[in-house]
Amino acid sequence: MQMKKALSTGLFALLLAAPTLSYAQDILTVSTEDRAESFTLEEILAMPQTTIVTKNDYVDEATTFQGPSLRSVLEEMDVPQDATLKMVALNDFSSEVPAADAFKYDVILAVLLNGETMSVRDKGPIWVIYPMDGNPELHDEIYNDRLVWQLKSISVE
Amino acid sequence: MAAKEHLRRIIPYRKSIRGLLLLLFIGAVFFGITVISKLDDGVQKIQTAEQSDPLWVASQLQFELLRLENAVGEYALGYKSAIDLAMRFEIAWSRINILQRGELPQLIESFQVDSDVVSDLEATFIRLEPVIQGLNTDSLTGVDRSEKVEAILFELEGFDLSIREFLVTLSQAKSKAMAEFRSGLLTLSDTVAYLSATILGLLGIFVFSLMLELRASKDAENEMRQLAEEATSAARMKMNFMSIVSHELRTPLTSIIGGLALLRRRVADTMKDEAALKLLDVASRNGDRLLALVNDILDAQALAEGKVKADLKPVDLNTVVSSAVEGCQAYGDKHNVSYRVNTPDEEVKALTDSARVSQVLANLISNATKFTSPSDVVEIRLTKVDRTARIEVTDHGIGIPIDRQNAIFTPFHQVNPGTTGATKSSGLGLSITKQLVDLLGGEIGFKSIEGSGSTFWIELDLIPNTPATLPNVGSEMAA
Repeated sequence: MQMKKALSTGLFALLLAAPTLSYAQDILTVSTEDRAESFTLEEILAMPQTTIVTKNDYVDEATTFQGPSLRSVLEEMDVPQDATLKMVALNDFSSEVPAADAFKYDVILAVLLNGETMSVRDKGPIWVIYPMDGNPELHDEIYNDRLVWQLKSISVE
Repeated sequence: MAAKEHLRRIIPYRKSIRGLLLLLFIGAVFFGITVISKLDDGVQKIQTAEQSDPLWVASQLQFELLRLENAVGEYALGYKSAIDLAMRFEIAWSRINILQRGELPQLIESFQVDSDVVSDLEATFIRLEPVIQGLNTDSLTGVDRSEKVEAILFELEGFDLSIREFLVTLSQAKSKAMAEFRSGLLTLSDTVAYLSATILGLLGIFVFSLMLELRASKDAENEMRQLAEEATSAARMKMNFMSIVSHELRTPLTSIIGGLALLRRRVADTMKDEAALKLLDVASRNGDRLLALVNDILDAQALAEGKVKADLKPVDLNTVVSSAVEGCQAYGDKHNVSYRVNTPDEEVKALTDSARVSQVLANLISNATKFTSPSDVVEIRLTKVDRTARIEVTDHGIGIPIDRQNAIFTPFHQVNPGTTGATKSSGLGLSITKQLVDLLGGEIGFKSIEGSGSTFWIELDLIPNTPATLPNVGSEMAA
């Protein structure tokens, strides 16, 4: 009992102060009709990483984002290109995103911002990032709404 | 002339008008660019406001704050764990951060809305962080819990209202910006209307000035044409008049000349008065000259009207040259001038009109006779040069001054017109000659040195020799 308490206290402290260390906890669920997969931060960091340097309306300057490409995750789950993804955030905000975006652009599930993991209060642990710099057509309200932060699940519809 | 005057009057005024128009055009274009860029600015601002809507973000903050307060209450009642509460706290904090980074703070500033409430809230959150962390322990008694929860709720109290106020101010500012944009749009549409009117006006002026210019140039053209027509009709009238007069003169002249000849023959034997006979000769000679003049005028008229036709036949120019020289023999004797003829031994065949060639040669030879020095020899030479026949008539007379050489073939032109009775003529001879040579498809020219004589030449195309090989070719082809 004492042990569990100490563990949960420690985990809690880590969650607040340094989410980087909160391994072993599932932070993302990807589900299709047939299957569902959950990933820990560690697993996500272990995937092939894509780096994007871009600015958007919610950062002060061009920022380096790093994480697996959404495309690779979707391919892994055999998601067709014409599917619609429902992206849900920790605060239950949800946004519908066409899977085609992921195949057309290097959309990433960013887990590192300037090389560091993001806390919940800084839009972490996962922030969907579009490469807006270099693709002027992405500077639009529609794509702004697809920059889902605090992402917790992706479900294919 | 009048047209030129008109143009001279119009040109400076036209230039300044054009300059003015250009300036106005440039002004209008710059104005248009300003208007469009202003419009673009407005659109951009509205777009940003729509895109990362501060109202939406702020309302999300208010919502998350309420959920946090709710979670705190539920925690106090034991419905929620400390971890869940901590998550709500984090999410609410992320909402504060969103309002403080990227485009939103700038946008809120541009709306001139005081966002102190957001930084106040952040300060409160920083103060609350250790308290929230401290909740996650089993050692807390129910009393401790409710004390802490009360403290948290106390800290958060009032933000509800102030964030709501913040929201209201923000929404007012936004609708004000929208209203400004709309009224700006209206002003701009007025401006655009004025601009279009100005541009249309300028275009109108431009077209008008263009039409004025067009009309001026048309007037000028008409005037020129009229002048040219008048000139040609005057020339035609002169020629017509002369031709009519000549026709009318020729009949009585022929009678006079014939009468004089008959009279001369009848009285030649009986009349002893030498002076009277001489007078008859003078009358007869001048009658001949008058007839020649009249004939020249009629020829010139016929040539000018294109009434003279060449009757082309293969002709041996040797014959033509010798007969022309023979024809002039009497005239040469009268002027005490003899002729030396040089012709090649072979045939010189040309497809031409022998009568016209004779006329041309007679003209050239009589000219040479007239202008050469007394008891001189005029040379007439026929040669073959490549595929052309060249006939040269050379005298050793006064020659043609260089400044007169250009005009030598124009009608009524003479060197020293009428200075001596012997050289008097109409001045039509060379003009007629040139026109005849042109008619025959030949060339005419001269070489002259003033004081030492002239050489006039004509060139006519030879009939090409029938190629001797032709039948052979034919037989070869047949074989």
